[in-house]
Amino acid sequence: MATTAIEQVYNYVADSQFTVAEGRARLLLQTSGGIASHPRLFEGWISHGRPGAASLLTLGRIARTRFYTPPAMVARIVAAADPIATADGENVRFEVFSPCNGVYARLDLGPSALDGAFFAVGTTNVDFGPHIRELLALVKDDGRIFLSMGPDDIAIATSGGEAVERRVRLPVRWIKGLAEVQVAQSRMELDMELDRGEAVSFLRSLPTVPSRGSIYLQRIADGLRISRSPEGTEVGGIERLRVLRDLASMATRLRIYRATSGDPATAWVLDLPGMRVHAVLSPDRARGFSGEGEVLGQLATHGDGAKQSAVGRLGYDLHEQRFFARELPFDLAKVEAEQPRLRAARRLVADRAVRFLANGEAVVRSSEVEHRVRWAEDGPHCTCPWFARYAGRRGPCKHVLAAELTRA
Amino acid sequence: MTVNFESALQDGDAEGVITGLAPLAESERRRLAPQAAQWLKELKANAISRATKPWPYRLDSQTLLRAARAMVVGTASLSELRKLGNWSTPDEDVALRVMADRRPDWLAEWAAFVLENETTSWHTPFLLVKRLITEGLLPRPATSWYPLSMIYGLQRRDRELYQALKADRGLLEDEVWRLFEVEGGGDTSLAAHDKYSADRNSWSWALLQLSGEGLLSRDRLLDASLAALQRDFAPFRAGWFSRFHESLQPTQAERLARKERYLGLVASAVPATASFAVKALRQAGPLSLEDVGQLAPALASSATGVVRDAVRLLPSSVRSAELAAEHLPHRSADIQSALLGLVEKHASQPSVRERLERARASVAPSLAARVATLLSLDAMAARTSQVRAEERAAPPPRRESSTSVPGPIDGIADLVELLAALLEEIQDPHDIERALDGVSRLCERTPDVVRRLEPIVKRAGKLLGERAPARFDGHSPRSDIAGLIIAWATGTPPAAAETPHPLPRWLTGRSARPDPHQKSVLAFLSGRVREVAARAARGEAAPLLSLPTGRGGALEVDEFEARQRRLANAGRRPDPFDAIQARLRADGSDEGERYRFVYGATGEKHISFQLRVEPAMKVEPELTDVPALFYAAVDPAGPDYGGVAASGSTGLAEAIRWVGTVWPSNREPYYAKGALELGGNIDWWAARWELRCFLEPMLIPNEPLGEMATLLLSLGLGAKESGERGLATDVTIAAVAEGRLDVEKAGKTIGGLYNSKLLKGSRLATSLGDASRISQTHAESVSDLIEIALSGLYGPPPSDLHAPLALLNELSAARGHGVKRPTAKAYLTGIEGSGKTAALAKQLLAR
Repeated sequence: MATTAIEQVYNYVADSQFTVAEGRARLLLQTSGGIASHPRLFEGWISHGRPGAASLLTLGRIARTRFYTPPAMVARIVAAADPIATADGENVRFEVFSPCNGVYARLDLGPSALDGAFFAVGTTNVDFGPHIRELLALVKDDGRIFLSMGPDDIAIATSGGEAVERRVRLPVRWIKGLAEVQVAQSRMELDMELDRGEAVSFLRSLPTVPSRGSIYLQRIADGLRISRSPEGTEVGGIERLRVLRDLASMATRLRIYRATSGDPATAWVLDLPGMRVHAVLSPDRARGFSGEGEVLGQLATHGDGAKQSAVGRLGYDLHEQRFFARELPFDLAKVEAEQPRLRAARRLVADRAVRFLANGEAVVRSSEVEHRVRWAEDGPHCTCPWFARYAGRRGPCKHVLAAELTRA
Repeated sequence: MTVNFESALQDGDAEGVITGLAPLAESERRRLAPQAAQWLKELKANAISRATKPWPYRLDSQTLLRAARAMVVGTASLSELRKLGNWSTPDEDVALRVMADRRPDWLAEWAAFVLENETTSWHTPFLLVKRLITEGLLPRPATSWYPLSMIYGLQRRDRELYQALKADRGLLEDEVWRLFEVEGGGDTSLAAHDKYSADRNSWSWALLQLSGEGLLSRDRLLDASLAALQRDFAPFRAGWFSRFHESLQPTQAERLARKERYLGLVASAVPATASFAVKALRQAGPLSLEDVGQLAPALASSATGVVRDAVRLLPSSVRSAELAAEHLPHRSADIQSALLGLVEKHASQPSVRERLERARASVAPSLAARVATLLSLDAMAARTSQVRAEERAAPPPRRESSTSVPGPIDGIADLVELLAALLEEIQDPHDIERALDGVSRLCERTPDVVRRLEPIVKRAGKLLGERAPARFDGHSPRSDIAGLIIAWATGTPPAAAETPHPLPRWLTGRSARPDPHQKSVLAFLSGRVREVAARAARGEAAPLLSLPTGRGGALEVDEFEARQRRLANAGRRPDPFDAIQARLRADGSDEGERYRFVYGATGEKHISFQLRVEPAMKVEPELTDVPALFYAAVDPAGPDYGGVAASGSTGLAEAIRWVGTVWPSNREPYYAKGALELGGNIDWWAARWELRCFLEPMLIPNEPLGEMATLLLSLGLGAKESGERGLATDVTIAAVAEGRLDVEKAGKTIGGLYNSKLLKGSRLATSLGDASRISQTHAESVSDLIEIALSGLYGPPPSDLHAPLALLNELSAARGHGVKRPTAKAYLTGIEGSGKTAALAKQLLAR
């Protein structure tokens, strides 16, 4: 039976701390897992304290927010995963993914925001509990923040072991969605750019409650307009962007990216002094990044980048338009490498369910019916309900995959 | 003494089980676990099926379960207990005695599991776990479920919450404080509990009482409630903590001591928390200059009340002026005016001027002159106006949409895929037409074709299961498509009349029970599908006349005549319903000239919208008299064509969209129906998501907007539901750009509806304001429309007239001239008083 969730164990030497002494703010983030048990990655100053603190708070909010609760779901508290932090020698990146699988966010602190030393390159989990969030909200606008990621040897030696342990059940779908959203970003292009005033006005005008039906963004003389008729950029679950409102007045611009094909996922990049906040929205608030559609669709065309991202080894930087190395600090060995749809396709092939006709179409026998797969200019088509419902927007169905595997 | 556990279980002898287990070693207990688990499962299965089967035991379920649970919890492993779930959890006494004897090393994990999985608003294991703690069997669990389970865990019928807390002072030292650290969810939160509790049984009241008696530290309560607000709980749950904090009535000194925390909360993502924080700061006393920066998030709030409070709080300083200038881009001119008040005092400072210059483009037109004065450069002001005038003078942006539609399907493979897609969802009614046309032309029943249909036949059959409406009877286009596929694939023609599938008895209303004899426009469309299905069952292919050649069902006359000739040359007669549909699309009908519409809104507290056709229809139209069917539907008791979903009486978007294509040259009765339905639900009393579809044909570039279209549009502009209002705004924008909007007509219609109080001024101002942003032409049109609406008002001014007047004021300021229409001026002149409305009226008259 396939694993549906893994128990992620966070072991921290101590709670993270935020202190203010003699006017100096210090954020000591404890680390767990990744390249070491408690890797020490960076120590130094974040030059722009208020945007940095506000961005971290925004990420913390996204990490804990279920933007959509299915009607049938008992509203149990979902324990949130801790943010993931990556240091690469020049940048520090913090990533979060909402429990509903629908919103991904990342804070990139670039060289102009950081003044310190890197001790190691790698990725880890960081403790970002409510006690930290309480205090980050008190950062004054002109303060720098001293950031330390990971305990030093003395702290480890004096801690007497791992003082803080938290266990969180991470659905496999969530982990795979976090991987898939990187591939989704690699298929996006810049659509619009707003200056600070336009960004502030736009984010302030967002609906407060979800509304049914598609929403489109239109560029007009004085900014953006939200429309209901299908002209412009389609944005699903747009009210989720309200979480970025507090950052807009500190931003210099807001860039909007949209998917070049497939379902209308969007990405929103806020440029702040020395740093950037990326937020990626799934096509609809009731839909998360599924964990397989984008990857399946890209495995054939984008090759290694998509494959490496699919197994959690790469993130994607929209601003720089490239993948960056980042191995997700989870026990991925417990997560099945193969996508369920691909597995199902392989079973069909093994059962000899695929045969080809003289006209090049494939007949795939599945669930006691024979589906037809054909290849048109806009890609492969199938007669199954999955294809009928999504028309290839969520990647190929198992019948198309089976036919392509057989044809290869 | 050896206990016969099997007998003890069957005798419900919990005492015997507990006593028997007590001396056993763990290995002996484990050997008994399978028997215990099996017995519990049997009891559970019989308990669940008690509604349909008699209870097979001589003793009652509670007695037997008590003993069974004692046995299970005394023998099972932790993972077995997890699998057995809440059925295995015993009462407090049993749990205490068994666990005290057994002392498993996983007891803490079991307690955490039970707390997480069994805490609800009607039952919690709090007292069970508390007793284990009290008896020293386990430490207080670290899980947040422990304090959460206490929320409902102390309730008893004979004891108030306050008394329960007072009786156990230990709770006041630990558990109570943990309530301020956890959010909860669903029903399990302080907010949810107190919302549905009488005052004296609320946590808020209980904690206040205990604080008043000195049993809970007031200072700590004040701090804990603020700390909770800093944890970013969801708005509903956060609200409890801010209300509780205020119920403690902090003194000014107490507030001053907590100023830093309030300042931190100004940045809260929860608007109510930010508002609470700003109000609290006002009571704490004047703000110091070094704290000014922390009010920035309040100035960025979309809640005007928060911004207003923050502006009042800010001390006069350069930094305050800088922040105010940065946050000038705000929708409300009132707020901008308040912010400018802060800027004005320090406008000479370079840092303030720089920010003001950056924000200048976002300033409301009515304040442009004030900003220009602050920047003290007339030439610059003029240049700004010039730039704005040039930007807005540009012709309205042309829409890219066209009226063309995809052509006929040309192959079986495409047809099968289209039919498969329609079984899942129907978005575009033209797809139904293409599918119908495709089946009509390609329905030869060769073995290859029948094989290709196999996957969609199965799906169609599933759709037409017990829950779906019957096919071909005017209730569901998807069911009709499913019926079409089945007829074609199986060769079985549609039956003469379908028996309606029964729907649940609790459904009421005329549309609750599908009537196979109902004559409606949708039933006519079902008839078209039935015709094609009948031929497809015989494999008799023939072209259709009625496939549209343009959006909205339009059929070019030339193409229609060409199709007629082709059919005649092939020696075929058209299907009757197809012929009716094609003629209606190509030639139209003058049937509409016989009727007129009468509408109005009445009532004081509850405003009711009515619309009817005159002369009233005395005879039910035939299914082939489609124009008459349209007019008959404009009657609340008339034949509805909105479609019925299998699970309820809600309308179907695809049904409304498809009906909209039937009579493209005269959609007035269709729009009238839309107006009747939307006007009757203007405040969104029922979630009728399908109604916005009536507005969609108005987006077609050459769609005329007659009396009913204008009425529907006007209602849409004032609708509460944002989707309806947004679509109506889109239509207004498109119609103005294409010269289709009769501003005079629209203004009078809106004025009449606004005067009757059916429409709200604030909603109109929002939608019209949005439309006015597009271009100067749009701004002029909206301005004219408001003036015409004002001209139609009489009696005391509506209480929210300030909203449309504020919009008109901005548009006038941007145009550089005042109200044009004498009738509008006369109305404004008659507005007396000193409120916002009167002030705006004076400003408009003075311009």
